[in-house]
Amino acid sequence: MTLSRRSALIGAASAATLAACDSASPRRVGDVIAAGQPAALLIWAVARERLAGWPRKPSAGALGALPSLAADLPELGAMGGGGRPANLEALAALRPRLVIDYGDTDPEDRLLGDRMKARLGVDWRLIDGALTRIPDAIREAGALLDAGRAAAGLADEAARVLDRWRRASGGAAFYYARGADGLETGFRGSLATEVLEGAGWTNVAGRSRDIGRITREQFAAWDPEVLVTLNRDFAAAARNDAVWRTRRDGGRRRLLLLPDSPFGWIDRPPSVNRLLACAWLADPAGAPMAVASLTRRLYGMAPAEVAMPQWIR
Amino acid sequence: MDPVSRLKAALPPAGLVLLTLAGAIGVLATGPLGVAPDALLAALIGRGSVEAELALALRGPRLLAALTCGAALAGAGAGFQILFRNPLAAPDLLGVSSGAGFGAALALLLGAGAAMVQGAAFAGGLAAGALALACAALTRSGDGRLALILCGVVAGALASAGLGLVVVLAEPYSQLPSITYWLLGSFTRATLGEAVGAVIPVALGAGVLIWLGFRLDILSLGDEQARSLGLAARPLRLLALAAAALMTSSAVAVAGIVGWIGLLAPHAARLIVGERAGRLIPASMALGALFALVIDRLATAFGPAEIPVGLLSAAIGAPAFLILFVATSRRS
Repeated sequence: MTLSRRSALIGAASAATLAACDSASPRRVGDVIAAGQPAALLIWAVARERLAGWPRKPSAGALGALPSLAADLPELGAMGGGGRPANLEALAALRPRLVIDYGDTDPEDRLLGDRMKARLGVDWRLIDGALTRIPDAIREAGALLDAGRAAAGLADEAARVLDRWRRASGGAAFYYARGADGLETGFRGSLATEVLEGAGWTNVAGRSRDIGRITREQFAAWDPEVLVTLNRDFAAAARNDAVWRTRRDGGRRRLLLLPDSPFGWIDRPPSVNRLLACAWLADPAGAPMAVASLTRRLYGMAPAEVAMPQWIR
Repeated sequence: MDPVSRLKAALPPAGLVLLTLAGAIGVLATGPLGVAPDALLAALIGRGSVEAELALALRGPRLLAALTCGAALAGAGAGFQILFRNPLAAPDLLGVSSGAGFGAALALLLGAGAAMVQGAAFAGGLAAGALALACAALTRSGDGRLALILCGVVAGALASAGLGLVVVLAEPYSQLPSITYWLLGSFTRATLGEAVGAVIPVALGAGVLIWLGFRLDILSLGDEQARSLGLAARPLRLLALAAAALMTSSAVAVAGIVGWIGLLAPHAARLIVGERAGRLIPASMALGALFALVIDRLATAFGPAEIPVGLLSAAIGAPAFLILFVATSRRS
């Protein structure tokens, strides 16, 4: 049997299985592969027992916070994109039922999916990773993973969070500092800053591309009201640094440290984890309840373990 | 040499130094903050506005980093070219740049802060250079230059393999972009302390090379000739190589991998001051510093995002080198 014919048969079989859906099919364990870390988070949120492994194992801190299953899962590598590449033969040896990719849906990504499907002989589903389509992505993943009812609850909650986030009253002019020295940033319209911009915050880094580096003087010339980072070490270094904290009128710039564990709040990776920042931006005062609920649903973490953004003095 | 000849000989290098200083003043006076030169002058004597002081605080380290790194890479390149009698010898001949890149990437992978990254890059560069020198010392091939080149290739290849491994292991959404940007080079990341910290080893290395002066010219003739003229060839060559490796490692630790300066500047300087090490090395350093200033200014000239200086140095350096090569070959 040729591989392409085999993959076609497997695809048909998996489609038939999906049609049977939730309760009719027996629960399976570790039979779904995530093409990348965004997909891994989506699967973890919807039906974590189905995840065969991590494309990249979360940090030790993240594994300590997540349910123990997270640490038990092996690191499999990623298919396409950045990161350690997966060994396709090793993936095939796991006899997966399905591969889920979550992210851009442009022709190149579809082509990658088709190629991998043919090579692995496993059904490959690409789900649109747009921030505003997270509820649809959760429902689609729920249907694929025989977890439609559980996914529906999370999708409804995500839809409510995104609805409030869209109606947020706006915020400050900000600069998003990435990297150890803070000079790497997400420019206006980038995936990395989409969450903040969607809530009405103004990204001072304009007229460029997705991610790039700037100079300290350019930062000072932009003179943002708020310096945003996910990097705790950078926040500690910038805390009393005149360039990072002093505004052009001599005033003090606010410094916002967003949580980075178990996964980043506004990117790293760009997946369902971004809902947490959406909930906080929509209503900072009422966010603890929403964040606790989302963290439990997305990660399986207890409310006591939930970190919140910090305004650093 | 009589005083007049001495003065004539000193004029071209002095002119290059003055040109570089003029370039430095130009760079210091311009930038996105748009502070007027008189306000900057007032800030220099402690009577400036907050904004002017901020501009000085931001431009000063960047300028110092560009000058130091450009001078270091060019001086080291000149040293290597003299020692190996090879116009293609560049500061990375001993694998120092690759070693520094590996050190920095490893530190970024481990989540180190900016100062630790610089320290790891410096240590990685020196380790690669030391490995190449130690391996070459174990061989008994002629005057040792071929062995040094081969051992440099080995050290560089090992460091490149390590760097590749780090890239593969890096987290793709945060660590990988940081590693990539670090490797592509920038004069921006250095703080004043870090830039000043680089000046010291660069000055030490340059001092050694300039002090060696005519001895380098003799060493370039080969070990036998050097010994016949009373020079201890091997120790002196080792000293010169260690000085050049120290300069290269310091520059790469501050700026990342910025190629072509160490190859191009000595060639251009040779056209102006000739072959003698005592004049070629300072002139190369002045030209290298000037070239670094130019690419640093261009790096921020096309919008808010910085173009990595490693890309610019290659984009400008490669065609400039070709023009120089064609011009000198026609002349000869």
